[in-house]
Amino acid sequence: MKGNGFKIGSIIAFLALTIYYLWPTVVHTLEQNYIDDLPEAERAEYVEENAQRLQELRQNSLSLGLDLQGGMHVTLEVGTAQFLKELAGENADSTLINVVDDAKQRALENNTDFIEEMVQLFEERNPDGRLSRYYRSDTENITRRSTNEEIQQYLVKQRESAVDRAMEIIRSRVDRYGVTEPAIFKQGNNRVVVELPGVANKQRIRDLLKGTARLEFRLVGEPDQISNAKDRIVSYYDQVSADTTDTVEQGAAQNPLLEVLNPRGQNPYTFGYTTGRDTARVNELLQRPEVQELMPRNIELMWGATPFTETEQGQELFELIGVRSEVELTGDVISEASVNFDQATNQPRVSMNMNAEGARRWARITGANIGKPIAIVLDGYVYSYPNVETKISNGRSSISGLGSVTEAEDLVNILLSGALPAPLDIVEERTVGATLGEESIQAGFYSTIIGLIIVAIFMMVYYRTGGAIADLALMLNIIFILGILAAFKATLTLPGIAGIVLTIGMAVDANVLIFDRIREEQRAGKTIRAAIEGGYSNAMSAIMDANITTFFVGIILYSFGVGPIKGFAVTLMAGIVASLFSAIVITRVIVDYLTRDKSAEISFG
Amino acid sequence: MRWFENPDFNFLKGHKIAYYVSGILLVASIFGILTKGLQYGIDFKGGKEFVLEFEQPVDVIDIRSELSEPLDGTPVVKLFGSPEEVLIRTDNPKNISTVQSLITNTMSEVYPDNPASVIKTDIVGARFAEDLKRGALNAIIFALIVIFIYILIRFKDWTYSAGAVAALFHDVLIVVGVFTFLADIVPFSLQMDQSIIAAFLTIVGYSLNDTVVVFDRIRENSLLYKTMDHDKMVNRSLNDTLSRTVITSVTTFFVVTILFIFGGEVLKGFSFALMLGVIIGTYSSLFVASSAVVEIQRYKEKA
Repeated sequence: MKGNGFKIGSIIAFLALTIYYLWPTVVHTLEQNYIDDLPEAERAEYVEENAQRLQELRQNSLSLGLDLQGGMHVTLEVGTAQFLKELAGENADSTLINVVDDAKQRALENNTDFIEEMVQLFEERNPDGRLSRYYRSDTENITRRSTNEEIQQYLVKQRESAVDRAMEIIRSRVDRYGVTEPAIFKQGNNRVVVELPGVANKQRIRDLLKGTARLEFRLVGEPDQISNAKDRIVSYYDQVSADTTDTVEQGAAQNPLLEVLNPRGQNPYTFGYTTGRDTARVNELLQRPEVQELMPRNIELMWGATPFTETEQGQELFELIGVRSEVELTGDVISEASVNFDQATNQPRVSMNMNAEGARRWARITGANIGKPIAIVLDGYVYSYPNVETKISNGRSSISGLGSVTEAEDLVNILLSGALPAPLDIVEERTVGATLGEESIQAGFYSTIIGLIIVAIFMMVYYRTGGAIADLALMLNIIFILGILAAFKATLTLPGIAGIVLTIGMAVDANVLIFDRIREEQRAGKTIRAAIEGGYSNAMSAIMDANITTFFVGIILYSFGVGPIKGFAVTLMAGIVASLFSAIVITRVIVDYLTRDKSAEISFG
Repeated sequence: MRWFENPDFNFLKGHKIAYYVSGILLVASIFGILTKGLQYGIDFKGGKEFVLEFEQPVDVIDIRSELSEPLDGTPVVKLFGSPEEVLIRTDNPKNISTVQSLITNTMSEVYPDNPASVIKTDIVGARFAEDLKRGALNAIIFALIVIFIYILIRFKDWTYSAGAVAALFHDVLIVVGVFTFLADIVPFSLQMDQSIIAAFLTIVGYSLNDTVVVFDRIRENSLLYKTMDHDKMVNRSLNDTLSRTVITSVTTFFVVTILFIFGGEVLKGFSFALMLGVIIGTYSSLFVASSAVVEIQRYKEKA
């Protein structure tokens, strides 16, 4: 008993720390229950009054994983190929584009770094070629004379900053959307993970995260150019259908394009219109290389974002508009944006203000094109193409033709957060509804309690007093695990709870080893106190070896797993530390206390 | 209460039978894996998975046929724990929001009086799945290497490392084998995914726990009974630790069974793997690991 001062001290310290770290969780849970019981009217008031305190409590509480509280986990990948092409800008030629595309394939197959593969592939194909042909930067000191190695470093750096910038933009979008405590972090060299607790509208979030919101102001094509191109393409398809009807023995040849596209537009800038369902077929017909050659170089065809009218049968009709390829002005110049309503139609629209530079250019563009339409293009769709009535010198513009107020709000959000430096792809998405999360919490809770009871009873029946002591250690053990999780700001997930339940079964192992050893020593004829001493010290090496190896497995699981699996690894490791402490130190102190008199007896079954 | 008070089983004799048992199990497992193949879940294969909760029980076959046309291919449709909850998996390449609304719209057309809500989605891109698979494989290989080295350092004898790792291979291989055979029979998912890999690594940790305790006893006894025949000493060590091996296995088996019953649908495959793992791990630390060490040592002496 005398030698146990340090042990008792450490138990008290460990307990005090656990209580300190778990306290906010306990208070927060109590507060939450209190708030839930309040009448509707008082609830909002109470929450408002205590907002600061409640938030602090929540931040210091043991946090629940998305699988328990419901929410959305998204992994986004920065499109490196697209980024490398765009970074080269006008310098990009077919050589570079081929190299980038093939490097993408190779990097996938070999699981290597994309940029490394790309530089290597470029050098293989062009032994004397220099990447400085494509990439220049004054600020990074990348010139015509830069070596490929320098360019490689430059590209890696640029990708890194593109991912960082994408992360910042995503953060600002998520903040504007209003999610409590989102987590946004980088994974590997080109992925961003976004965790959004309590999110219910997945569709909206997906669009918000991926949305490039590339806003462009473009002039529309000359009416003659558009109608001439249309004639050429229609007659091309007349020719094609005439050639194929020889084999298909059916009446008059149908022009495949006119089958799906009505060429009579409502104004001279439209190429034609069709139903929403047929737009894909029209795209396919128009994108054939032979057809593309018939289009004037300075004109692109783009769909209207919303239907311009409906047929009597209720089918929505979309028009195809000929806009100029050159972009007059982009969304970078937008400094302010807000949602309001068009007074004439009562439809939502987004009003924008431009910065000084943008306003100057906008004034010049509008001044030079009075009486002509300017198309407002967002992500490749024409939202509207109003006629310019006067020169606009105050830098104002607006986007109409939006589907709903939420769409307008999200557009404002994206415009203000800035454009993404490269396209983002959702490569992984996992969502759990709040009710399923609640069910999981219940399932986890019941499993823990039942597991605890059954193991506790078994231990008491098998080891008597010793078992009861081990049970006490086991209870403390679970509290310690929660304390460790709270202290390290770890998240409790469903696999994490499974880890705790598993720990209940395995934590008693150390005590089983010790008690079995004590029984052996007793059988060998030792006194109870000598048997206890021998039991604890002889079992030690087996306990340590067994636990250290399992701890290794925990570390490996932690470093490979994602999300919930990491949670499992964390509780497994916390469980090992806690159970070693409670099984070796706590039970020892209690056993020593019970045998403090020489005559004392203690049963190990 | 005392089980196995002074036990004196002849495990070495048991080894002979165990060789046949393990041999048959291993051959069957490898046969199963080779012929039926590993069934990868969404984590390692990629795809889109939605769990819908209806208000009333639904017919899985019906849903499957109703969705085949809109999704351009027959989706996998299974019950998810209760008769009202359905898991739908599809490889349809369209974007997530489109696929989700295809499913929900079709369901509300087909079952206008039985509204459904999406309670869980898992979408994994093919490339991302490839990364996850590679990560899982690396984790398992890495774990086995680390264990080999740790035991080598602690017991200063590579035969122990080899014996332990052989036993772990044995355990995981048999669990995978049982999985492939039962995948189509049991009413819950037994596909390889991240949580199953986590279960495998836990089995590795657990089985190792058992094995190391026995090894530790062998090391201790070899210092105590220097004159005793090596085989006999190994047998004695197994008997010495038998009570502990059984008790720990029983308590662990209790809790994983409780997890299996009460832990919810999400943990079914995971806890099932652990249940198998505890049984096979206990068996292998009694009959496989130590005997593997004895065999390797015997072979080494001959060589």
